[in-house]
Amino acid sequence: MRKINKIFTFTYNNYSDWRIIKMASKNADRALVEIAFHGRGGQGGITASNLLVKAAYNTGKYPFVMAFPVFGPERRGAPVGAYARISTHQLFDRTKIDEPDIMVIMDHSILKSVNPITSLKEGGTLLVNAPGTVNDFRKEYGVHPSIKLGIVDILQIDIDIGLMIGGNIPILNTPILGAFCKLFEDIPLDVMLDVIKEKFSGNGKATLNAKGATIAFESLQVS
Amino acid sequence: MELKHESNSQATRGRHVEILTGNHAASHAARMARVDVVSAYPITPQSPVVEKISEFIASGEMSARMIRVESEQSAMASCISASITGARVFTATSANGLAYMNEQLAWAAGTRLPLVMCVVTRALAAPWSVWTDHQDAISQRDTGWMQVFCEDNQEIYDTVLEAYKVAENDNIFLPIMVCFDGYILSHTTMPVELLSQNEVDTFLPSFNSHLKLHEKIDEPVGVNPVTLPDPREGFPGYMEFRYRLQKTIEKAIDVFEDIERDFASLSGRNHGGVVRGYKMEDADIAIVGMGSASSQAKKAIPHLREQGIKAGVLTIRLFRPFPKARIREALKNVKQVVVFDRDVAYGLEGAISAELKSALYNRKHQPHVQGFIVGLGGRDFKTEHVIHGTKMAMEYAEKNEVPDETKWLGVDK
Repeated sequence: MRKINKIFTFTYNNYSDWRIIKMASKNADRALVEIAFHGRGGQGGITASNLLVKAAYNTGKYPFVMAFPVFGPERRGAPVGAYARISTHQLFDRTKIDEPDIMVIMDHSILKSVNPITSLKEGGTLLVNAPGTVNDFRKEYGVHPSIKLGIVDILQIDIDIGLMIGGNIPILNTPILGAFCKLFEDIPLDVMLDVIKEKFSGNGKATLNAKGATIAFESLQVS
Repeated sequence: MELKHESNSQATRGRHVEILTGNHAASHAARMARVDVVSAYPITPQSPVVEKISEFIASGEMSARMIRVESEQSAMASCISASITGARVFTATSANGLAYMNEQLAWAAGTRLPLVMCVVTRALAAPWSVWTDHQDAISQRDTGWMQVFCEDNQEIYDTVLEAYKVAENDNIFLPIMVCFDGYILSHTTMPVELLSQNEVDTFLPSFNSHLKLHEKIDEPVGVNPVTLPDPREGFPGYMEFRYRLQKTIEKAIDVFEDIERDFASLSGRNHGGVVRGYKMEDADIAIVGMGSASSQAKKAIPHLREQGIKAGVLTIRLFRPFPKARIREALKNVKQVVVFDRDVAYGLEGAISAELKSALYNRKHQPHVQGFIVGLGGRDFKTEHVIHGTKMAMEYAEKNEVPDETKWLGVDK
């Protein structure tokens, strides 16, 4: 019941109805996937969410998609979120995503100040850009055994292939989308690579971004 | 026009689809409408509409003239002037920017100018808020502008194109606001199918207005002189002008529906005209809302029906003119109406709720109407609120109660 926010509990006290809603929504929206990206302002989470829904749309399986940032002012460097819904049915939900099915942590260092992982659905999927092994990460952050966990060290990939903005700022979003495709097989890597190449076709970085995504896809550790 | 039961906002004919924010969907529509003049002042969450247009102009994709101004009041003033000379005009604003235009809005409507303005709806300060509700647009409902509310980004693109066609209709010549929820649509990307430029050009030929002063450079005319209380020597008085404005805006309902039919046969997409039904065929209870409030109500329908409550959603797309007869027709078989307003007509109740009652009053079939105030200043309006409000309203109806005080959901009282 911890997910019910204060506003809601104030006006709505019949909790049995809430359970009915949760059960019903599982059946009615069986082909709805809600995704949350967490990172720092400027790390490309919003672009990642947009590229993701475009790839999902392009697969043909998900004709109804939406991507949106946390509404309001954004600050470079501060922990921020971006969200996506992909669905086989028309999307009517216009609210924030409180309990995502899949969570992407663009930068593990935010976990020192905020911990969004607790909002992930039981049985959900977690993808983190972090060094080290997947088992150590699960132990360190107490990730629930029901959660499928993927770890990829994007900073190392960026250093290896020189995927940087201005030579010194690592690009996180395109590699993490490559890794995403390994965890979420409904979006094949080649569909994602096409979207990435199209996005960066203007600035000559298409091939390098696609390479980063491919390496991340291949080097992802899953448990 | 028959009540449309499912919205058909989906890509159909294999046209070009882009994943766009609501703001950029509006910018693309303005570009393809071959707008001549854009004048706007930046305000969150509207700014990206005009930023994108300035990119189109810079890249040569659009040949409009951008007028940079120091305020929204000046933005509307320059839109009015440009339109009078014979230019197709576009602007966009939000919240206090729209409020700042108020005086000029009345000039635009009184001069019968076919302007199109996107209102990216946002709460009115104070206190300061950049998030959505419908208060800004609702507060301008009596200026003589037409107002349409959109539910998704495809509808924004389509409605901007339709709006020019309605505004420039020979029998209308009135300005129109295309309203859509700030952030919820303005900053959210969704697939949007764009028409080809040829298709848009066919649908929307060159600018049509009763005033094109650039064609009359050699015969100067006065626009909007002082108009006396009584008619004189063949000149109408103020009241005659205002009578014609009201009679014209009443006609806009039929014109809007005709144009929606034309647009549907061109695009394969149909947004239902002035009102849109969802699961209304067998509904006992109609949930009424506009924009995001109506979307969220649709999300609640399967849950309500699973609990044996036969509810449907009636989306009010055209708020001004208020389509009274169409609403009565759509509600003729329901026992009860539940209204969710993201606005307050302060000192009364939610605006949609109040107007809906006036549409039903003095008629044979008068379903029980209960309104709720929800989602002000960006507060999430959740599926649970829809369900809870509907059940509360059912209890009132059961006991035959009609509370005078407003009911609010999702607020710390």
